[in-house]
Amino acid sequence: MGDPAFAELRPEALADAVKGRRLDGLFALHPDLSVLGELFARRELIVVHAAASPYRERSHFDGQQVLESGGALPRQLDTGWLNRALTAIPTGPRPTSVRPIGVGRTAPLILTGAAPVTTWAPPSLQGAGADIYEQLSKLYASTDPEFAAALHGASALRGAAGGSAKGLTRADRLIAEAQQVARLAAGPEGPRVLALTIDAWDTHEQAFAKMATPVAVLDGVVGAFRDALGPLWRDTCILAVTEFGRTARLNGTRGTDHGTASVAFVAGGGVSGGRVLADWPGVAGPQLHEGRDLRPTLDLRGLAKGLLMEAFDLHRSRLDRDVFPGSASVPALVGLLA
Amino acid sequence: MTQEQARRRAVQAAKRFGYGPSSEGLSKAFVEDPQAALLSELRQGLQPLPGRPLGSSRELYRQKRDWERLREARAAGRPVPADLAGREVLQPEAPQHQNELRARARAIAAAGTGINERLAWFWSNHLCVSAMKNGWVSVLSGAYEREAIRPHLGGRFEEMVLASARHPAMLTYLDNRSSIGPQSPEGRKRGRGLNENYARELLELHTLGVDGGYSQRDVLMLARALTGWTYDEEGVFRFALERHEPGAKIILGQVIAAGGESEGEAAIRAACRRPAAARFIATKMARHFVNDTPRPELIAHLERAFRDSDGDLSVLHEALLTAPDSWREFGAKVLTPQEFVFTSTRALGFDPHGVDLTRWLRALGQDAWNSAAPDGYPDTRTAWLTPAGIQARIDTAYQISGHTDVRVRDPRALCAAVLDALATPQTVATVRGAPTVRDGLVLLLSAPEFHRR
Repeated sequence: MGDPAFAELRPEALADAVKGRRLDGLFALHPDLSVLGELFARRELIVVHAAASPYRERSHFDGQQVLESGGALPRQLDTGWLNRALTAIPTGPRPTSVRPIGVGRTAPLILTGAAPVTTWAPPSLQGAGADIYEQLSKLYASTDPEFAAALHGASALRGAAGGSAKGLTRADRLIAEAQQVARLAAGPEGPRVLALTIDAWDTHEQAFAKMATPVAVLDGVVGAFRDALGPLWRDTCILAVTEFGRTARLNGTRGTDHGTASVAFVAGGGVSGGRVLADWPGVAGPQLHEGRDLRPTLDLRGLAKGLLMEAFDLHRSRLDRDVFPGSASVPALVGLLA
Repeated sequence: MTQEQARRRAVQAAKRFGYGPSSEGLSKAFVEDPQAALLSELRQGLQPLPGRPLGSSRELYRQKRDWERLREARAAGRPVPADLAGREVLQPEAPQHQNELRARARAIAAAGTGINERLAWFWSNHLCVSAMKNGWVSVLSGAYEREAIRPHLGGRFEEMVLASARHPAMLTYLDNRSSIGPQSPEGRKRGRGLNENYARELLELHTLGVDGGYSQRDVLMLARALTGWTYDEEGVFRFALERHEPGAKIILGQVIAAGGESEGEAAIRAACRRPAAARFIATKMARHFVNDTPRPELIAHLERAFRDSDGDLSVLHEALLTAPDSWREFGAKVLTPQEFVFTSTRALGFDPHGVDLTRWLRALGQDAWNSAAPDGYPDTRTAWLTPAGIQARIDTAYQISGHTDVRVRDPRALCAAVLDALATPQTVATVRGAPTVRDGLVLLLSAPEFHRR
């Protein structure tokens, strides 16, 4: 909001920003990000801006592929960087004890790869009884290894999360589901690595109204983890990233089309926060990438590499070679964790 | 080939290209020559959906508009609009969705294998709209499939894409209805402008594929060419010249002659005729029906059929059935959740009257016409064969089994009818050993060979 060009581009956003928490002379949080605001004040949140993956086109699907695979180009890699990172952890938790979980009925690419991963989705139906599951577990074991492995993963999770999320608004339901996931994570057998997706950021029209739901969900999901994890929050780090930003200018329908750089958040009890990490490129006409998008000045791979180095003692050479191949020229951002 | 092998191949083909055997099992003619039977069913084309008419998008649009007017009046404490007074006006989306699904479940149960219905789902997922956008797309989503997809299943691809481009559901879903040429009279007057969402997805997802050789400039030019494609207050397509961006457009290297509505049509036809479109469609079709990573020969075969026929879908669909590579690697895929639900209702042979099909599909993560993103639902084995996915299937199998009349169903006989020669001895023994009829049906619907295709 401290960039004079911003006021011209987004007058409504400026009016909003005045109501939100001031972060420094240049930036303010969206007023609905109250949990993130509290975390910032407690120095448990780093706001990263003008960041992007190496992807420079504007397809969601390729953008997500690059963001989650950690490749330099779409479909260069078909496994996820977080999974490869798990197999590269030198000491401490091995992949098996990390028990990574992808939230949703399909496995997210970021967690796909050689390290075994399970998926979890909130139960929404009254289901078959334990005896049926037992019968099927035997049947699958004797006839179909892939079905057996999937069912084994499901059994390990059944009942562990508890609760039910019915009769709520979309945002409340997603937050309630995150609370279930967070409870799962807080347990002694809970996952130590977890990936989930918050969607609905594709605000092609009426961007200010459309942003309300995903913003509330993002804030609520981070809050759910903070509240459920208790003492584990101290050792927790949440990285929130997106495949691309939006156009700086509003389009003809008061929305924003697919852009380039955007914001990222690093939150957690162990984060060295209370600061904004950005080399702000400006949003005046000639400063924009291809005349339309926020110009990237920070590579998200450097952010992820810094976190993996500090959280898991991953060696820089493994990161450059296996986790983010071809990223040796991208420096790891250090000092993110306290 | 032994009789046993022939039977296996027939069941597998019925599952790969259709919804598997019905509760009556496979016919003798189908077992003798499954390819000929499938080709004959394909050539008969889609049958009309059974039951009462489901309503045109114009009728459904009016129902939704009436509901919104009533709701607004109530919220504002105003009297009910005179034309709605004394009429029962209900929110139409949810009941419409159930009726659409039930009609399709009945059509699938009545079909030979349901190959034409499978193709309708394939194409509507390819050119998908999603009810997640808003209530207007939601109420129109079934009508979109009936009006833009089904009539063109045996025709040319570009006609299907054009019908999709002009349909109010798509015009809403990907925002083209509100895209306005900034230099058009209306753009100048209201200070409004372009929304490039539909133009981009048309190239990336509907025709060329992301590597199909187009640029940001093509997206922009196509968005300009399509300005003015919107619909009127009745929900009927209208070209609004006053919103159309004037000036020359060069799209995919082709100069589009100025002509208002004809510009968008010419650009869409040009995109559909590019070799990249043939390649993109062929790959998707081979991956959907045959294997997550289809053999290059199969893709090339379908690509040729599409290209040489100028995108005639009946030729493409026949090529899928006659390609030798379509008749190997059976079982490499699992049913999508939608296929699972309809294969199950067909196998159990019960009428879905009053059944909440939406809830099952939602629990499985694949409600109809409701994908989270405009690339539609995934259809790979790896996407759906997950721990949460398998648990949802078993729990849904339990729900589905609760809806059948257990007094007249013998799970052992049904196992022989719908799995036929595919049933492993272990599955037969598990189903036979079930303590109740319902448990037997759950186990049958959860057997790996029921889900693999």
